[in-house]
Amino acid sequence: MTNFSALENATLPKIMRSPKTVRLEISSKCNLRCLYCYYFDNHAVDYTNLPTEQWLQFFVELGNMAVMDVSLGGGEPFLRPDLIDLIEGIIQNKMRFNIISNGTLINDHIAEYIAGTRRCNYVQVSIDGASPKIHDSCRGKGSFVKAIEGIKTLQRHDVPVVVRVTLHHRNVHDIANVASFLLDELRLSVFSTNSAGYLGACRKNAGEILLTNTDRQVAMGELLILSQKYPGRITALAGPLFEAKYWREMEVARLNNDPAFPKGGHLTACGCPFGEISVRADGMIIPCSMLAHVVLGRINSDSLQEVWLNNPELNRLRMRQNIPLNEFDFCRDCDYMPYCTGNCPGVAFTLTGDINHPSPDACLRKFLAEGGNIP
Amino acid sequence: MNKPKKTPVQNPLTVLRVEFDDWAILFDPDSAKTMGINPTGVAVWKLIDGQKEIEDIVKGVKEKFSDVSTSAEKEISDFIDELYRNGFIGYSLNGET
Repeated sequence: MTNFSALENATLPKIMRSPKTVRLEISSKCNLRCLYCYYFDNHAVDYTNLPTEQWLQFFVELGNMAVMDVSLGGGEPFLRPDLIDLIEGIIQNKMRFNIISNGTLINDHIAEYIAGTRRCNYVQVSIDGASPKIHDSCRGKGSFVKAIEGIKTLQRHDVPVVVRVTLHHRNVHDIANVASFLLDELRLSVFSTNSAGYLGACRKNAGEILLTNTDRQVAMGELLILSQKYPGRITALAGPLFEAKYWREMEVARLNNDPAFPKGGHLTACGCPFGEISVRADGMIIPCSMLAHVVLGRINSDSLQEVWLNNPELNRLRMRQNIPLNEFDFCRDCDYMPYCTGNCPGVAFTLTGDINHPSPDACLRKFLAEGGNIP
Repeated sequence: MNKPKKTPVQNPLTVLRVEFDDWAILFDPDSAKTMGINPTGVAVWKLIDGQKEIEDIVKGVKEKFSDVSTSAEKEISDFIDELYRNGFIGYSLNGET
């Protein structure tokens, strides 16, 4: 990892006494094998599952730390036969939960149970297209029909449902259909978007899955139009819609020679280590699923409170925001530097081998140099 | 006959989550309601034990903090009412005296 002079005298920013949210990969198994999955095919990860009682023991610690929310993901959480027992443990320890799912295993029984808990913030289901042909092209035959049935089952039981649409090379021309299907036909209040990233299984399928520069251009234009058609109902924290909006702001600032953005010019993009932490299916505590190789401790052996407040690796990640972009050859002479935040350290790591590096995947100058235009 | 006195009682589900510099969040996991409170609010919250009446709580705050304003009694009473309206506490009625 690169050493930076900026880190030598930097002080650790204030952090909360405990994370607000803890993300749990409760299942290392999945019934699908999506071509762009970030989770599987990570050599650093031991794909085993903790037994019920170890999770329940950990939930007591989370409750004592006043953690507010746990996010249940994986893998596919609905594959755990003890899912209800785990949710009961969350409830007993005064927390709320959400579930990140492919939607294909949701039935009336589990939906009715989830609704009855009154503690579910939402179940997020991944939908990639408005038809089986598009959706199943990356997620496997039959998955579209089952996922939609899963969404309808959740809706029937008044469980809050959100949908994540991951954009990739095979669905980029279906965005308008997806929006209409989700918002008009299924009557969801909102859906979020991102794009397939160079992580996990996606790395070996990158050539056929990742958005090309042209795809990205199409996606940005289309999503901006759809955002006007469906105000406030299409969201993004990353991917083409986020980039379309943020890159516009960067371009305006550059043209006006505006002062740096409040978080611009440094590796400030990732706020996750200040509010949340993750646990792998094998019980290893990690900063985030995108940084699954950065092991900070093990649940029920190491105190999460101690890890959260004092783990040197986690604090180094928090200090990343002190590293100026002008220390990187990659950023040299870039007019956008005062407005850039360096983006996701997880993608930066898989692309460059260094967490403390700007992510080349989300570089506006690179996008423009390769023929892209700001929409 | 005196009015029955109200004794605030914490909702046992409510979570006190201390964050920065003794500021905190009260959180009801059933309703998902949250309320940010300052260090004085945290002190008030900790004094709500189902036994103390509001005047006892005001007294407890005055003992803990040296610079308590003259309007403290009303402010604390209003704060406790706000906790009640948000479901973070209930009142037990001590009956007539």
